[in-house]
Amino acid sequence: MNARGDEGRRRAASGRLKWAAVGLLGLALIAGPGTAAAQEELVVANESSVRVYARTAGGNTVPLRILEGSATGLSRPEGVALDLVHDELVVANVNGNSVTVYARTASGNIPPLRTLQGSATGLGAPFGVALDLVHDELVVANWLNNSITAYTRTSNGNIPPLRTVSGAATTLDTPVGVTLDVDHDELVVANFGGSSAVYSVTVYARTASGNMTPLRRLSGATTGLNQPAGVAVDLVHDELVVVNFGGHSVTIYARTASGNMAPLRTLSGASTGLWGPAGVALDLVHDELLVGNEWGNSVTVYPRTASGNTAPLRTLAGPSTGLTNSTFLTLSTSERGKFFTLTPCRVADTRNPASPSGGPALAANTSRSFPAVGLCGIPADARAIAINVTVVGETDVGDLRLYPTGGPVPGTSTINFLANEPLANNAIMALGTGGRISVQCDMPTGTTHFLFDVHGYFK
Amino acid sequence: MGTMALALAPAEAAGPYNFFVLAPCRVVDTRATPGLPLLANTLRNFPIVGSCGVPINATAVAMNVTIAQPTDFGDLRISPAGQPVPLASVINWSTTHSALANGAIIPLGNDGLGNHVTVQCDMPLGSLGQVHLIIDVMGYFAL
Repeated sequence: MNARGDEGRRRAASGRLKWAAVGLLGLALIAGPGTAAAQEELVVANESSVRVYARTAGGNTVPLRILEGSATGLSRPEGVALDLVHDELVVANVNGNSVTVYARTASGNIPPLRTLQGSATGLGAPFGVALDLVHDELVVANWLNNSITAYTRTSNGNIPPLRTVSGAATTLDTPVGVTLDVDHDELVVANFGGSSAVYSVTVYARTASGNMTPLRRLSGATTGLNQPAGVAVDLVHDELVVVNFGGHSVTIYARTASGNMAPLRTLSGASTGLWGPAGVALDLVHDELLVGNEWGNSVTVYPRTASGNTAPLRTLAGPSTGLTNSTFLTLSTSERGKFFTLTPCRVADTRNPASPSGGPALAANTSRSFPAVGLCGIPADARAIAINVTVVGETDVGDLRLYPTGGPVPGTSTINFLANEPLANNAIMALGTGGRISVQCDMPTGTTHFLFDVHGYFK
Repeated sequence: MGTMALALAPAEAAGPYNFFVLAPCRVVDTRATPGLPLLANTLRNFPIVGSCGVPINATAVAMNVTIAQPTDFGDLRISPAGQPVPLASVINWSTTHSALANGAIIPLGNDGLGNHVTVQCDMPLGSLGQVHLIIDVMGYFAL
């Protein structure tokens, strides 16, 4: 196993990246506010393509869509992430030294919407990629540079990172998988151990920069880590899920595990079908664990709590699937949220002096966004808020359209009003970029004051 | 008899269900072509599942109900299709309102014809009035 890692680095250095030899991962599960058409798909990074299947696909199934060809800019795609707020697909290209972004439903040989590439980016064989829609950032694990780089989500071209985590104190060694834990504001990295053959999962503050010592480091013989590649955090069950490329295993730990700690569960053995597993996606909606097997050219799916030598619930593999060196994957499911009550609290009121949560009044045919996360006890990982929307001092008839910030202005309305009639309505509204909601004010002319109170959230 | 009554009864105390967020999406608009407004003191069923990302396993939807261009005052009762219409209104309006909205969480039923909610349009006895209905969904509940 050590030799394989060393060989991988050597090959990379010689410009011959053969990812079957180093493995990695392609299944990250990103679920977010679901758009109307974005439900229940599985996105898998392959040797030279990104393939999309129905979430429940098994057997020798033809993909729903294939993104492939010279115009796509795909060059050994590995990390994949779905952005359901902006309806985009983000891909890290190891050989291309780039991060390319497409419309979520892109298919065929179409060029990316944005490409992050060039010497200023600090990208070095980017492998894992994670999206932070709360802070509007993109985080990349750089396999060759032993670094984690963070960018503004919409960066396009040769743009330097906002932050770089690298240096001896970080103990980063061939980082492959990266995921964000917005609940605890942490960054979790799987270190493949390509240069040291020391395997670890390291955890940093989300905003870590420079030569930072990890907050926690899971490493040692008892951990069962063996060329860890894909990594996922399960905030519902407070667990850490790691896919071990060299160990042909999935190991699951307490989320805060550190040191030489044994896994809570280990999934491995001939019946599992795990063979050069690289990527992982957790499906907390359907309580499943999905693994991309680079050597197995397959995606294997298990009950989330599976352990031991358990056969998969289903296996996606065969010539019709086109799976070749399948690694990282991501899923779109609508995220399950539980309701949490809050003491009723006014989040914004435009009758107050001018401020981000205050005046001026909404003007006819303009859109304005308001912060929600961080106010009135709304946490960073809230997906939606239960609110009461009030209009007052309307100078004309009209309606307001509320929507998640960053998303398209929808053809839906939240409240309709007459002139000078204080009026209120209940709404449940998904949170968008930066934990904000936007309001489009539809009126012939004039202004209206707007306020909203929160009484709970879903997460 | 007892069994029948049970089978037809609304799913009281069913759950608990999880909430799934959707991007706001218009699922019903009687103004759309070919548009047919709700007529006074009639009942009409609408499909919800399969549109706007509401999946087949959804048990209820979080919606915003908007009425527009009423020609008489009235109220709407919205309830799971295939079940008796309850004495519970979702929105009440007067004719001074050209449009009025209310948020609601409505359980889904099935009338056997692919419809999932029943809308009863209540107006004064003998009214020849009509009103347009718009339903926007923001999320759904499911196991």
